[in-house]
Amino acid sequence: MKRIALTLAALTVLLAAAPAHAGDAMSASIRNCTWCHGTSAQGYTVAPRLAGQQARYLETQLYGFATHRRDNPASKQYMWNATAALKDSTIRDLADYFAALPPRPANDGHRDLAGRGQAIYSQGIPEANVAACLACHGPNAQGIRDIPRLGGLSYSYLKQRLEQWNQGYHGAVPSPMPVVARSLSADEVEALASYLSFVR
Amino acid sequence: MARMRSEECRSFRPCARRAARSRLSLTSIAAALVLGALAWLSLADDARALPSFARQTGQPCGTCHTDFPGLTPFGRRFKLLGYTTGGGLYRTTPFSPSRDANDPGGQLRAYAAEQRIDGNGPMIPVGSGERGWVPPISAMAITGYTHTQVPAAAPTDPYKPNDNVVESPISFFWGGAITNNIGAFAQVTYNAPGPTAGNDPFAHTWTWDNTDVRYANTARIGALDVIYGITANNNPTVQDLWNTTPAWAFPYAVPAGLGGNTGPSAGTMIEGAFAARVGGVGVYTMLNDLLYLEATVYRTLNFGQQNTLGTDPVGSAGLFNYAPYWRVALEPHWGPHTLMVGTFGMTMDVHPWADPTGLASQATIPQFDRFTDIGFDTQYQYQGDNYWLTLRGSFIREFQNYGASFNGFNPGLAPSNPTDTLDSMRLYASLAMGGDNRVVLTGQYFHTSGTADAGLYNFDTNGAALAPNSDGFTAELAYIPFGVSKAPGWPWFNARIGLQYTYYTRFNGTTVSAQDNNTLFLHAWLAM
Repeated sequence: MKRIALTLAALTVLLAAAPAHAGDAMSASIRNCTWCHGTSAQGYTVAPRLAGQQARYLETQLYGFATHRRDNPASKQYMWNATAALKDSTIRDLADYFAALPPRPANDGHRDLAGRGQAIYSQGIPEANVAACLACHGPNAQGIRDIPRLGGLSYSYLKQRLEQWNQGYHGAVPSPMPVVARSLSADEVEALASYLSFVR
Repeated sequence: MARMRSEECRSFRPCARRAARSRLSLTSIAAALVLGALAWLSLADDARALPSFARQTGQPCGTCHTDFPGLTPFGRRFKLLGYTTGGGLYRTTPFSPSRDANDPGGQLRAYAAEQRIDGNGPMIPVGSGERGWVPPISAMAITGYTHTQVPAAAPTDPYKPNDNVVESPISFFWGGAITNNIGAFAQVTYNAPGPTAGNDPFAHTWTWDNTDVRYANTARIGALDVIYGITANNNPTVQDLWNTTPAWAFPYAVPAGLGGNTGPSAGTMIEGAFAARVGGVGVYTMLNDLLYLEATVYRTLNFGQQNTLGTDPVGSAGLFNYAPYWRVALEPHWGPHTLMVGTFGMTMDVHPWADPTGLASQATIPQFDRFTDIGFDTQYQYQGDNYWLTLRGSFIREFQNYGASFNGFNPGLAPSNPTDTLDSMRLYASLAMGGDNRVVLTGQYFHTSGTADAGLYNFDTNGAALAPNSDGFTAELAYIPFGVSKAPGWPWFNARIGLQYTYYTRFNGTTVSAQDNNTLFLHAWLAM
């Protein structure tokens, strides 16, 4: 027993005494994110995929969490606390890092709804005054700058976010999405979320 | 020789449930019931939600716990990653570099430079607010009122035969990161002294309790996302991620005090019989956030080591040299759903004590009994908008080969059969409603059955050998004030107020008077 304790103590001291590299702090910050968002940041349960997301969007959202502007329930519970101690440089580094990771599509929507979703995404719903999503999010739903990549995010996350735009919650920055989402029916939200989950 | 081998298990609920493999004479039933009750005297649950984890991560209890110590998917990953993830206002470890270090992400900037679409800087400054390192120490205490349907038989001093209020256990923890890759959950517990008829001849009160020290890291190997690590722990299944395995299974808090539930006397070895009596080292991995694999080897501490650490050595069946433990679990997840299907097990060659009292001799005999436990478990968990639904099932079959005891080598046990089996099953459902002011409704069916063996379990009134069969239900209503936010003033405080009732349909092989053991347990569990 004593030998085991001594071995563990020695191991701890040796590892602890190793010089702390600046990169260690960043690695720890990354792990603080992948804890919930998945080992390679492809998303995990309710935590969305970060890999391949637009860096500027990630930055904006992190500031939105830190300043409590983005206020949907999951943001309040998880992200307000997670960003409370982030420095500007860390936010920038995290955004760059996750944006550079190759994204993998969730592929978890309803395939039978994907066609309808693709039509809404590409053409909008003129009779309901819903603009085509691709106008802002791009033809491959890849996003740009502050506009997020939607392609390949999980069905449940996309569906929830579309629903929350119509529930009075605020985004990190002013957005036309509350107006857009207001005109979408529940079926149309499901169709859009399904389609986007399959987009590579 | 009839002997109740009730394991003194201090704060270990499953260990106590393991309790006895006993041969009870007809004239000693009352005494056996008392001893059985005593096995529960020092009980309290080993599971803890640690405020120091909240301090380290900056997250409220509800991020990791549906109702502590029940884990959410994020709680399981926190454990998987070695208790090392941070994110709170406080520096995670005394050794890690400060987040104020110059150019902390230089390498990552280089890695990402070509991928960057724009070169704009941050919109607004955000202050770090990082504070210094605080040792990850926590404390908890449980106070419980226990009422059984029929009072316990004398002697019960210093407790009443029924309706006792007991403050036990009180625990202190180290819970959190040591380095960026090493973390620990280590518990020291004070248990209220047992009654004068207590079954721990060494009268321990302070004891080491659940301990799990981990190294964890991540890697990308081909198409595989790999989390890998090493665990050093003192209780088989204490390192497990799911609450389906014995160490962290419901009920999370159980009666302490003589008025408490006597509890069925039979339980499989892996259900706590060697909790805090072993040391084990193992390796584990999680592949693609989907498949968990673990292999660990345990060895019992010797008599003196166990006694020094506060456990009653002769409260267990004996000592073993090396015992392999395995665990495989597949956990697919989609949206707010997680499903786990797994198996676990352990095989032990247990050398019984030469002197079951441990007073005249502290040696074991060269012959051994072999116990092989094989478990299957499953869990489904759903995260709703403002609630958690959790369903669990577990089944353990123990194959018992009494090579030593059946052949008369064990002075403390004389089974009638050379081999027996013992099964333990639990079916669990829980609904945790609300963010703060969380209300948790839990129900569990439990079932123990096995080979009839008069040498282990005695005879019924008709002279037939008894089986270790027990069945019943446990229902609990719990209130947790802080789930998604933090307590004002001292944000690392939480509580669990629980009203628990256990109803037996069969107890120790018979339905006769089984309901005498029905138990009401009202408890307040404070953690800070």
